[in-house]
Amino acid sequence: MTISSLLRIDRIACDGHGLCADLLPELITLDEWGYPVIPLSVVPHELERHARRAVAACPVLALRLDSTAHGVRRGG
Amino acid sequence: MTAFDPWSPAFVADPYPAYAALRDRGRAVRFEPTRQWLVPHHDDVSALLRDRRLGRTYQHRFSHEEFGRTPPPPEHEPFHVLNGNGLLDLEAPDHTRIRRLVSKAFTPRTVERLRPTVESLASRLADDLVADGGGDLLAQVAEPLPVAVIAEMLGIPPQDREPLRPWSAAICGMFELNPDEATAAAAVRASEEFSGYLRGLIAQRRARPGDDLVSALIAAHDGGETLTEQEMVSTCVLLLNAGHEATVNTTVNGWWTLFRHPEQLAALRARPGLLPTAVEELLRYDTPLQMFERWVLDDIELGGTVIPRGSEVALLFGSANHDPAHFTDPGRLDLAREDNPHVTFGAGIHYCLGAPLARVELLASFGALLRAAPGLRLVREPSWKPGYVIRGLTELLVEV
Repeated sequence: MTISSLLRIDRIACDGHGLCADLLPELITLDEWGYPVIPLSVVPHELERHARRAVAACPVLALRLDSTAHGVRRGG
Repeated sequence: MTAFDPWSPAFVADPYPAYAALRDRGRAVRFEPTRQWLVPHHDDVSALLRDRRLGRTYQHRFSHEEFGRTPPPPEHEPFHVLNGNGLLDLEAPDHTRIRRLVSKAFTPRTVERLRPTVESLASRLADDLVADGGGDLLAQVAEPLPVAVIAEMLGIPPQDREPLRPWSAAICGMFELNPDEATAAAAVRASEEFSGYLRGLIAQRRARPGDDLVSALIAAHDGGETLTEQEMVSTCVLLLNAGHEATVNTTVNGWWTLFRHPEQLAALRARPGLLPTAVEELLRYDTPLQMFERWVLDDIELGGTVIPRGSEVALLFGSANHDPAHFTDPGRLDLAREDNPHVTFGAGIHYCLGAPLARVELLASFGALLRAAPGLRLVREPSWKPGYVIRGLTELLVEV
């Protein structure tokens, strides 16, 4: 089991500045209205630092990085 | 009423009635003297700041000729090289690479650690003003605080700080509309001197790194992403200039606003807990950056008007901040205003990197003066500097 980080967006707080997609284009794209889309929320280790900066740069603190343990198989 | 006229002192003194007229005229109003489309509504300003069909530069996609623009004359090159390599005038991928490297220094957490230093400096400046019986609030409090803070962050030694303000002022002259040849010549000279100074400082820090942002930029290696020396110089100039110009003007314009609303000033003195919403309201009520431009990289449509690639839109922050569609009774100063989505810090990928620092400085500066000088009074009505885009007073004479 490994510990990794998950990107989460507070959809109510998000105001669509798009800075996160600019700072972390590897993981975040924008939809047609300018709101972030995160197809894969697990942050690879080599992108952790960039992910933390994208989180810190969000003008409305809507992006979060949660540590989570995974590797345990869930049903399905 | 004075119509929109950035070169008219009467308009600069009070642009708000003209903004209301512009909002009534439409969503995109052509302004021939600058060949810009003026955008006066909050919804549109807010949306276009986030719109990737617009950019602060076009040179990452088009040549000057392809974009239908005349390249700047070669003698202006020192200014354009300096300005064009700064974060604020870059788009992805260069913007991404550089913002990643500098963002760490400006996160809310990093800035929070500076708060005690900023507060004690603000108190000292306020106490000095009181000890003098008053003076020029701009020169004695509003200016020295942010200049010292940003210079300290970058590691500019105190004895080197005197030319920073004149260099910045000369460079900022180019951000006004249709700058003349004398303005350009002064900006070019300041760009050369400022760049030369910073190249020397970078060389010193390469040899002996310190605990400052210049050393951090030299040392930055994020997955192989680094800054060229020109990018480092441009970033430092941008941080130094943007790190104080707007804060100085917000402080001084804010105090001038307070003096014109004595009942609100009295309420703020009686209830210091109002300060956080008061600072946001002062940022809204009279923003230091009145206009922010974007190039149209792909055709857009605004209220039935097609604005083609190659155009320039001028987003009117002061107007957006007074748009009744978003602010109840926008002409009224309400220091307790809770719902306050002002655009003073911009929006989108160029959202003010220094916003957390600016808030710490403004809270410290207004707080210190309110406490140290409970009877602060205006000595005489101030006058506005000629600039419209970066709008501020020449001085603010006060007594205690």
